[in-house]
Amino acid sequence: MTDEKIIELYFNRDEQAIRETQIKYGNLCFKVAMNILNVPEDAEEAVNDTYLGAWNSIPPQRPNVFSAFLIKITRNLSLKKLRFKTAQKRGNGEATLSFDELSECIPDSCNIVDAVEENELAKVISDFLRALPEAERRIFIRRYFFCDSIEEISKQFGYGESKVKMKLMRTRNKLRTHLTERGLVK
Amino acid sequence: MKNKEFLQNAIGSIDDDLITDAVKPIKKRRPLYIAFASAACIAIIFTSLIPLFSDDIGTDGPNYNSTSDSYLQQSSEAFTDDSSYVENMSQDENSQFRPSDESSDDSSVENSDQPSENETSNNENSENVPPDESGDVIQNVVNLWDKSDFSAFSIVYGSGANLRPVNSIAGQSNYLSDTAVKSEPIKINVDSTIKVESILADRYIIYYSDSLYPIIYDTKEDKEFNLAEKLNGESIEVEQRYLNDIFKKAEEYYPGITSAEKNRKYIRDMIVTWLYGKLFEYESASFAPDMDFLKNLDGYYIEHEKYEIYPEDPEFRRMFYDFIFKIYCELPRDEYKNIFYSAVPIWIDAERGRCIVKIADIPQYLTKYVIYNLTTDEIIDINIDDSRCFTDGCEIVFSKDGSFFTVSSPTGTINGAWPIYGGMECRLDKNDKRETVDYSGEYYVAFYINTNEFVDITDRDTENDMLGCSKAYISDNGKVIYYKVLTDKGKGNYFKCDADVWYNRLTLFDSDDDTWVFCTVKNGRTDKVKIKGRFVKLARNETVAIMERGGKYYAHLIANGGDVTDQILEGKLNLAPYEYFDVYYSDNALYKKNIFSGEVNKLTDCDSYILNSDKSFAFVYKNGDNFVTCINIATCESCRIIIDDDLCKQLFADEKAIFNMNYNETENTLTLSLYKSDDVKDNAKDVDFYALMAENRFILNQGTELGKTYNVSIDESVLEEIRQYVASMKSGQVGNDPDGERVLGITAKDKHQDVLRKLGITPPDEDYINMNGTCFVLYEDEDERIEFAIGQFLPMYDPPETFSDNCLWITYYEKDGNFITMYNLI
Repeated sequence: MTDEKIIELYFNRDEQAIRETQIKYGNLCFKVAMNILNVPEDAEEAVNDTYLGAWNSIPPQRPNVFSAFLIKITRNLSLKKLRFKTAQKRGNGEATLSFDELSECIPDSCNIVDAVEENELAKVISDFLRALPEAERRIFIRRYFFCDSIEEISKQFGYGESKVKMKLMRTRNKLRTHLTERGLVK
Repeated sequence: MKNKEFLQNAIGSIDDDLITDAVKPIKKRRPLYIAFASAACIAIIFTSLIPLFSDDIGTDGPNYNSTSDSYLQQSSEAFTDDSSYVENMSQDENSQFRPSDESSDDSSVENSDQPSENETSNNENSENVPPDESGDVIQNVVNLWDKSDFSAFSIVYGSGANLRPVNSIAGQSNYLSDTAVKSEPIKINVDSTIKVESILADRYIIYYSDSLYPIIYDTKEDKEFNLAEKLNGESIEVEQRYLNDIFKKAEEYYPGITSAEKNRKYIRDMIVTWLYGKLFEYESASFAPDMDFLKNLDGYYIEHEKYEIYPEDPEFRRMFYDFIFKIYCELPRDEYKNIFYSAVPIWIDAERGRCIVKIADIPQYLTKYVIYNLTTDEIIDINIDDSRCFTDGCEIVFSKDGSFFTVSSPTGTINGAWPIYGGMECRLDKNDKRETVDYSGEYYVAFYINTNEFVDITDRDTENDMLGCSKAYISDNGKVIYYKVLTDKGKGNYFKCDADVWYNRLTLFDSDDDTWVFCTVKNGRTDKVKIKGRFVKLARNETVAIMERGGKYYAHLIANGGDVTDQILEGKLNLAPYEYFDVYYSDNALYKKNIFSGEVNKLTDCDSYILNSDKSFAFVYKNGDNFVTCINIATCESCRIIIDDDLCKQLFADEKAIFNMNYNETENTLTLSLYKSDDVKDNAKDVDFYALMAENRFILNQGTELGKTYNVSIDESVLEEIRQYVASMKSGQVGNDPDGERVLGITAKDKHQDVLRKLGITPPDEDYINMNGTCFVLYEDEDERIEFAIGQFLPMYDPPETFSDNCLWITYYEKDGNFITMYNLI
């Protein structure tokens, strides 16, 4: 079923919308949730919450890219759950590792300026990613948005793990420079 | 913590398109040798394509229905992802065809041509039939090249280079994603001992296993044929006896050399190599062993008293090759005469299951060609022996139906520069017996399928100084032979006729003079008509030739011979609608030109196209699309043939590829092929191609498995040497590597070899380096890391991706300790 038709089901408040979403994007959402949470039960819960989130958001929202819309919900929900678990010192998913790497972009000695809003930063990062070579861009997103492991990425791209790590490190460095140059990090 | 979470959340809000882009299928790196493999890398066959248009072809006019929109409705439903093309097509729905109406005020660029009302009226009630009853989308994808877990490739013989067996390359191909391919893996046992020599007809694999004899493996029927064994009768005994004699001789020179199994195997493999090479090289003088190399071998063994074989050492291999030849020359020649044959298939007619096999009795090397019928297991001698194939470059080319072939070989030169090809044409009767031999000389002979006759189309018009023809064609139903005559003898160019042209000769001259000769053939007699101009097409059941001169189109009657209608025609010939148009390609678009009104309409933008034989419809393709569009030239109606979307994206993701289409009207199949770029093709000469294989063999022989990562211990002294080496290269050539890192230096050969040896890697054969620019490259990246690459720079490659694909990479982490990570991107 096309995304448009699924969204139409949401608008018609037809519960078939959930089933179709699950059929088409269930695996993808679960993968993202698992990458972050590393516990199947938790991931399953996050995915179910995703469907609920979609049900509550559509309408009024009409997502342009339905898949990205869902993945973002899954990711946000999973991250919230992860932070809760981390506070309780439970779980240790791939996300923890990837976010630790990511924190290199803005070391503790630096701070994101207070005035910057999340959406603004997202826009800057999006622009930054667009300017990257395709492989680097996709590797970066795979790692820090989808929280894929290095091993998975290296298999996906046919690179050695060391090469993936190297590319990620360079991209992080470039991002740090990019943010600094734009006065977003001080 | 705040920073990290803030950044996490911000990344979570990046633009949607970036997210969807990141989950698209990824094109993995793949080895170039696969891309080279036997010309076609991938073939996708779509079956049962064109019933839609088959009824349009003929002299009765079209059977389209200009008011019918049922097909378009189906189309638009199927093409939900891109309706623009359908919209363009639908503009035609109600327009009228005005074949001779030059005052047409229809300024629409696209699709304004429609059949005349008169002609349309004959077909008002006929329906357009979609290409498939179930809809207009046909998908039947078979990847011919994913039948195995080894890479398939061909080698080309007769190049004069030393031919050596090529090891098969084990390892799972990641050439296509699993989802794109539905085919069974080949059932052949692939192990380290098999040597795949060639692939014929995309179906038959010629390989050596534990025998001196090549085996034909039919991948479709899962059958093996060992022709040499059949020829040799008591093959095992003869073969073993022959080998034993070889071993004895070898022992006379180097006592104890055959005691180790490893050595015996090496010698046997060398014999296979040698025999195979011998089958395609004929001037015995060129086979005299190189005594210098033999001396070197003596010297080699003086240093290595245990007579150990060094199979991976190219230098040793070269020396040993000559040694084997020396032994061969010293064996009693009569002992194996006519009882021990080597046989290599060189051409297979996949449809009829027969092949031309070149055989030779090994001692005497009396070579001849036979036809081996794989279906009936019969061998038919066609009486062509090596006296017909004097020298290198002997070539046999078959006509499409296998009823006719030519044997050619260079016999001289023009002005000392260009080879003149001599040879003969042979016809086979229905039992594959050769009936005639026609020495070609300066004759030009075409085979006329209707009467099974050869027709002499040689034209010696002294007045016009005609020397022959450049290309000759036989029309699809065999009524007309037509060829372009040559009048300019000064150019000295030559080229081969395409393999898919019936008439196969080589031309000595090219000409800009657009003079064509049309022959109608009856019982071997030809009536000829010479017509000047650019040949456009045959029309009206092949009784009319449409020619273009000075931008105008003329129709000439050719059926009665000599009766030429030399005037501009204004729709008086009762042509079928598609015959009104000249279809041509320009500026990435396909156009049709009304040959009477001169009106030009763009059919569609495309990167590739192919027309069927009467040019009534076209297949067009735009790179990156997941469909091929089939267009009715006359009506501009179209349908789409859907290609697997993932497959398309994967194939076109990064790599330059040439998309090629071939339409087989008999089988009603459209074959889509992808080739490497022109640059690669142009520069991939036979010998280069072969050397490329050898390079990969070199990599395999190091014990590496493709795609795996190895940690190799390395001692400090070697590291230091590497450091020094890197330092010495810093003053060398500087450029960019595939990932934008700085290239410290590129060295052609010598210096790096010691370094490689210390790393436990045998350097590539110097010959290959010289021939193919195999090189050793060093990189230093920002992380104080040094990367080495051994690979091939073929001169015209687009360096980044192809270089990476062909490299054995060795990465040395200076930071992390004394080890190197060696991994192969292939």
